[in-house]
Amino acid sequence: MNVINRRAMLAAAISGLAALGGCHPPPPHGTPANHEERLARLEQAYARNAEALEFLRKVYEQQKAQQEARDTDEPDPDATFAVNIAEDVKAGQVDGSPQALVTIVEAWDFG
Amino acid sequence: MVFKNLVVHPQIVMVAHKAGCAAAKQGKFVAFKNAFWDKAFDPYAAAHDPSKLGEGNIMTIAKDLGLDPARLTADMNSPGCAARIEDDMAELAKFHVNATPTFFINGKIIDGAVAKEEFKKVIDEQLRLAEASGVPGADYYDKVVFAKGERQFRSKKTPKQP
Repeated sequence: MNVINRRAMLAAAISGLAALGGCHPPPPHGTPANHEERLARLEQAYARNAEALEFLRKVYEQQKAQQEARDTDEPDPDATFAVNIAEDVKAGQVDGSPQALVTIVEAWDFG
Repeated sequence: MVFKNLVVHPQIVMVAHKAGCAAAKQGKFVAFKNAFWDKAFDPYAAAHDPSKLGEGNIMTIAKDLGLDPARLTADMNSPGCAARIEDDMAELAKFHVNATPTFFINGKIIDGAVAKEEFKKVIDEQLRLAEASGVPGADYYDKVVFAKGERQFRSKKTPKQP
Protein backbone atom coordinates (compact mmCIF):
# COMPACT_ATOMS: atom_id res chain seq x y z
CA MET A 1 0.00 0.00 0.00
CA ASN A 2 1.47 3.30 -0.96
CA VAL A 3 1.42 6.55 1.03
CA ILE A 4 -1.37 8.17 -1.00
CA ASN A 5 -3.70 5.29 -0.42
CA ARG A 6 -2.97 5.27 3.30
CA ARG A 7 -3.81 9.00 3.54
CA ALA A 8 -7.04 8.52 1.63
CA MET A 9 -8.08 5.65 3.90
CA LEU A 10 -7.25 7.68 6.99
CA ALA A 11 -9.31 10.62 5.73
CA ALA A 12 -12.28 8.34 5.03
CA ALA A 13 -12.02 6.76 8.50
CA ILE A 14 -11.93 10.16 10.22
CA SER A 15 -14.87 11.32 8.21
CA GLY A 16 -16.85 8.20 9.18
CA LEU A 17 -16.01 8.60 12.86
CA ALA A 18 -17.01 12.20 12.72
CA ALA A 19 -20.38 11.23 11.24
CA LEU A 20 -20.94 8.61 13.94
CA GLY A 21 -19.97 11.06 16.60
CA GLY A 22 -22.54 13.61 15.47
CA CYS A 23 -20.14 16.11 14.16
CA HIS A 24 -22.43 17.20 11.35
CA PRO A 25 -21.71 20.25 9.40
CA PRO A 26 -23.85 23.16 10.56
CA PRO A 27 -27.36 23.29 8.94
CA PRO A 28 -28.18 26.09 6.55
CA HIS A 29 -30.25 27.93 9.19
CA GLY A 30 -28.46 26.53 12.10
CA THR A 31 -27.94 29.58 14.21
CA PRO A 32 -29.47 29.53 17.69
CA ALA A 33 -31.68 32.50 16.79
CA ASN A 34 -33.17 30.63 13.83
CA HIS A 35 -33.82 27.62 16.01
CA GLU A 36 -35.78 29.78 18.45
CA GLU A 37 -37.88 31.23 15.63
CA ARG A 38 -38.61 27.83 14.13
CA LEU A 39 -39.48 26.43 17.53
CA ALA A 40 -41.84 29.32 18.20
CA ARG A 41 -43.53 28.82 14.82
CA LEU A 42 -43.90 25.09 15.44
CA GLU A 43 -45.34 25.74 18.87
CA GLN A 44 -47.84 28.19 17.42
CA ALA A 45 -48.84 25.69 14.73
CA TYR A 46 -49.19 22.97 17.33
CA ALA A 47 -51.37 25.19 19.49
CA ARG A 48 -53.60 26.00 16.51
CA ASN A 49 -53.92 22.32 15.60
CA ALA A 50 -54.57 21.35 19.19
CA GLU A 51 -57.35 23.95 19.39
CA ALA A 52 -58.92 22.65 16.16
CA LEU A 53 -58.68 19.06 17.35
CA GLU A 54 -60.29 19.97 20.66
CA PHE A 55 -63.13 21.69 18.80
CA LEU A 56 -63.61 18.65 16.56
CA ARG A 57 -63.56 16.39 19.60
CA LYS A 58 -66.33 18.45 21.22
CA VAL A 59 -68.41 18.38 18.03
CA TYR A 60 -67.94 14.63 17.79
CA GLU A 61 -68.98 14.13 21.42
CA GLN A 62 -72.06 16.31 20.91
CA GLN A 63 -73.10 14.46 17.76
CA LYS A 64 -72.49 11.12 19.43
CA ALA A 65 -74.69 12.14 22.38
CA GLN A 66 -77.41 13.37 20.02
CA GLN A 67 -77.32 10.13 18.05
CA GLU A 68 -77.54 8.11 21.26
CA ALA A 69 -80.52 10.19 22.37
CA ARG A 70 -82.20 9.62 18.99
CA ASP A 71 -81.53 5.90 19.19
CA THR A 72 -82.93 5.79 22.71
CA ASP A 73 -86.09 7.54 21.59
CA GLU A 74 -86.42 5.78 18.26
CA PRO A 75 -88.68 2.75 18.27
CA ASP A 76 -87.21 -0.58 17.35
CA PRO A 77 -88.30 -1.13 13.75
CA ASP A 78 -88.44 -4.86 14.44
CA ALA A 79 -90.86 -4.48 17.33
CA THR A 80 -94.53 -5.33 17.02
CA PHE A 81 -96.46 -3.03 19.30
CA ALA A 82 -99.71 -4.29 20.77
CA VAL A 83 -101.90 -1.21 20.72
CA ASN A 84 -105.21 -1.84 22.40
CA ILE A 85 -107.95 -0.97 19.91
CA ALA A 86 -110.87 -2.83 21.46
CA GLU A 87 -112.68 0.27 22.71
CA ASP A 88 -112.10 2.17 19.47
CA VAL A 89 -113.61 -0.67 17.47
CA LYS A 90 -116.52 -0.91 19.86
CA ALA A 91 -117.02 2.86 19.64
CA GLY A 92 -117.10 2.75 15.85
CA GLN A 93 -113.90 4.74 15.21
CA VAL A 94 -113.12 2.43 12.33
CA ASP A 95 -113.18 2.29 8.58
CA GLY A 96 -112.91 -0.79 6.37
CA SER A 97 -113.70 -4.46 6.64
CA PRO A 98 -113.57 -6.23 10.00
CA GLN A 99 -112.24 -9.23 8.08
CA ALA A 100 -109.10 -7.39 6.97
CA LEU A 101 -105.80 -9.17 7.59
CA VAL A 102 -104.00 -5.88 8.06
CA THR A 103 -105.12 -3.40 10.69
CA ILE A 104 -103.78 0.12 10.49
CA VAL A 105 -104.06 2.20 13.63
CA GLU A 106 -103.77 5.92 13.07
CA ALA A 107 -103.04 8.41 15.80
CA TRP A 108 -105.59 10.93 14.67
CA ASP A 109 -105.86 14.65 15.21
CA PHE A 110 -108.63 16.82 13.84
CA GLY A 111 -106.29 19.75 13.50
CA MET B 1 -108.36 1.20 9.81
CA VAL B 2 -108.76 2.26 13.42
CA PHE B 3 -108.62 5.88 14.50
CA LYS B 4 -107.22 6.81 17.87
CA ASN B 5 -107.65 10.30 19.21
CA LEU B 6 -104.43 12.21 19.65
CA VAL B 7 -105.31 15.79 20.43
CA VAL B 8 -102.26 17.81 19.51
CA HIS B 9 -104.01 21.18 19.44
CA PRO B 10 -106.66 21.00 22.17
CA GLN B 11 -107.35 24.72 22.08
CA ILE B 12 -108.84 24.49 18.61
CA VAL B 13 -109.89 20.89 17.99
CA MET B 14 -111.10 19.40 21.26
CA VAL B 15 -114.69 20.16 20.23
CA ALA B 16 -114.10 18.28 16.97
CA HIS B 17 -112.70 15.26 18.79
CA LYS B 18 -115.73 15.19 21.07
CA ALA B 19 -117.99 15.54 18.04
CA GLY B 20 -116.13 12.66 16.35
CA CYS B 21 -116.78 10.50 19.39
CA ALA B 22 -120.43 11.54 19.41
CA ALA B 23 -120.80 10.92 15.66
CA ALA B 24 -119.33 7.44 16.15
CA LYS B 25 -122.15 6.72 18.58
CA GLN B 26 -124.52 7.36 15.69
CA GLY B 27 -122.46 5.19 13.35
CA LYS B 28 -121.05 8.09 11.37
CA PHE B 29 -117.51 8.60 12.57
CA VAL B 30 -115.88 8.27 9.16
CA ALA B 31 -118.52 10.39 7.43
CA PHE B 32 -118.07 13.07 10.07
CA LYS B 33 -114.27 12.89 9.90
CA ASN B 34 -114.27 13.31 6.12
CA ALA B 35 -116.87 16.08 6.18
CA PHE B 36 -115.01 17.89 8.95
CA TRP B 37 -111.88 17.80 6.87
CA ASP B 38 -113.61 19.23 3.80
CA LYS B 39 -115.95 21.71 5.42
CA ALA B 40 -114.10 22.74 8.56
CA PHE B 41 -110.37 22.17 8.47
CA ASP B 42 -109.72 23.11 4.85
CA PRO B 43 -111.67 26.40 5.11
CA TYR B 44 -109.96 27.08 8.44
CA ALA B 45 -106.55 26.48 6.93
CA ALA B 46 -107.37 28.64 3.90
CA ALA B 47 -108.76 31.60 5.81
CA HIS B 48 -107.07 31.10 9.20
CA ASP B 49 -110.55 31.39 10.64
CA PRO B 50 -110.81 29.41 13.91
CA SER B 51 -114.61 29.71 13.87
CA LYS B 52 -114.62 27.07 11.10
CA LEU B 53 -113.49 24.55 13.71
CA GLY B 54 -116.04 25.74 16.26
CA GLU B 55 -119.21 24.14 17.50
CA GLY B 56 -121.46 26.20 15.20
CA ASN B 57 -119.87 24.89 12.03
CA ILE B 58 -119.63 21.39 13.48
CA MET B 59 -123.36 21.35 14.13
CA THR B 60 -124.02 22.48 10.54
CA ILE B 61 -121.83 19.63 9.26
CA ALA B 62 -123.60 17.19 11.59
CA LYS B 63 -126.99 18.32 10.34
CA ASP B 64 -125.91 17.83 6.72
CA LEU B 65 -124.85 14.29 7.62
CA GLY B 66 -128.24 13.55 9.14
CA LEU B 67 -126.94 13.26 12.67
CA ASP B 68 -129.35 13.86 15.53
CA PRO B 69 -128.14 17.25 16.84
CA ALA B 70 -129.59 16.93 20.33
CA ARG B 71 -128.06 13.51 20.83
CA LEU B 72 -124.79 14.69 19.33
CA THR B 73 -124.59 17.61 21.73
CA ALA B 74 -125.44 15.41 24.70
CA ASP B 75 -122.81 12.85 23.75
CA MET B 76 -120.19 15.51 23.05
CA ASN B 77 -120.62 16.83 26.56
CA SER B 78 -120.82 13.42 28.20
CA PRO B 79 -118.10 12.02 30.45
CA GLY B 80 -118.01 9.02 28.11
CA CYS B 81 -116.59 10.96 25.17
CA ALA B 82 -114.11 12.79 27.38
CA ALA B 83 -112.94 9.44 28.74
CA ARG B 84 -112.78 7.94 25.22
CA ILE B 85 -110.34 10.66 24.13
CA GLU B 86 -108.28 10.43 27.32
CA ASP B 87 -108.08 6.64 27.08
CA ASP B 88 -106.88 6.83 23.48
CA MET B 89 -104.17 9.29 24.40
CA ALA B 90 -103.11 7.24 27.41
CA GLU B 91 -102.80 4.14 25.24
CA LEU B 92 -100.76 6.01 22.63
CA ALA B 93 -98.53 7.43 25.35
CA LYS B 94 -97.47 3.89 26.26
CA PHE B 95 -95.84 3.76 22.84
CA HIS B 96 -94.39 7.29 23.05
CA VAL B 97 -96.72 8.57 20.36
CA ASN B 98 -96.97 12.31 20.70
CA ALA B 99 -97.28 13.55 17.14
CA THR B 100 -99.27 13.00 13.99
CA PRO B 101 -99.08 11.30 11.64
CA THR B 102 -98.20 8.07 13.44
CA PHE B 103 -99.40 4.71 12.24
CA PHE B 104 -99.20 1.14 13.45
CA ILE B 105 -99.52 -1.41 10.66
CA ASN B 106 -100.28 -4.68 12.39
CA GLY B 107 -98.18 -3.29 15.21
CA LYS B 108 -95.29 -2.00 13.13
CA ILE B 109 -94.85 1.67 13.90
CA ILE B 110 -94.46 4.28 11.20
CA ASP B 111 -94.00 7.77 12.52
CA GLY B 112 -93.56 10.95 10.60
CA ALA B 113 -94.10 11.46 6.92
CA VAL B 114 -92.86 8.49 4.94
CA ALA B 115 -92.94 7.78 1.24
CA LYS B 116 -95.98 5.99 -0.13
CA GLU B 117 -93.71 3.18 -1.33
CA GLU B 118 -92.38 2.60 2.17
CA PHE B 119 -95.91 2.49 3.51
CA LYS B 120 -96.93 -0.02 0.84
CA LYS B 121 -93.86 -2.13 1.55
CA VAL B 122 -94.81 -2.52 5.22
CA ILE B 123 -98.45 -3.28 4.38
CA ASP B 124 -97.44 -5.88 1.79
CA GLU B 125 -95.05 -7.54 4.23
CA GLN B 126 -97.66 -7.66 6.98
CA LEU B 127 -100.25 -8.99 4.54
CA ARG B 128 -97.86 -11.73 3.49
CA LEU B 129 -97.23 -12.73 7.11
CA ALA B 130 -100.92 -12.67 7.95
CA GLU B 131 -101.83 -14.79 4.94
CA ALA B 132 -99.10 -17.28 5.79
CA SER B 133 -100.35 -17.56 9.39
CA GLY B 134 -103.64 -19.11 8.39
CA VAL B 135 -105.42 -17.04 11.06
CA PRO B 136 -108.67 -15.51 9.79
CA GLY B 137 -108.67 -11.76 9.26
CA ALA B 138 -111.33 -11.15 11.87
CA ASP B 139 -109.08 -12.70 14.53
CA TYR B 140 -105.62 -11.78 13.31
CA TYR B 141 -105.15 -8.52 15.20
CA ASP B 142 -106.40 -9.90 18.51
CA LYS B 143 -104.77 -13.32 18.33
CA VAL B 144 -101.46 -12.42 16.76
CA VAL B 145 -100.67 -8.70 16.92
CA PHE B 146 -102.23 -7.86 20.27
CA ALA B 147 -101.68 -11.21 21.96
CA LYS B 148 -98.01 -11.53 20.98
CA GLY B 149 -96.96 -7.90 20.60
CA GLU B 150 -95.15 -5.68 23.05
CA ARG B 151 -97.35 -3.70 25.43
CA GLN B 152 -95.16 -0.66 25.67
CA PHE B 153 -92.58 1.36 23.79
CA ARG B 154 -89.18 -0.18 23.20
CA SER B 155 -86.36 1.69 21.57
CA LYS B 156 -83.93 0.18 19.11
CA LYS B 157 -81.28 0.31 21.88
CA THR B 158 -83.35 -1.70 24.32
CA PRO B 159 -83.19 -5.45 23.91
CA LYS B 160 -86.48 -7.29 23.61
CA GLN B 161 -87.57 -8.98 26.81
CA PRO B 162 -87.84 -12.76 26.46
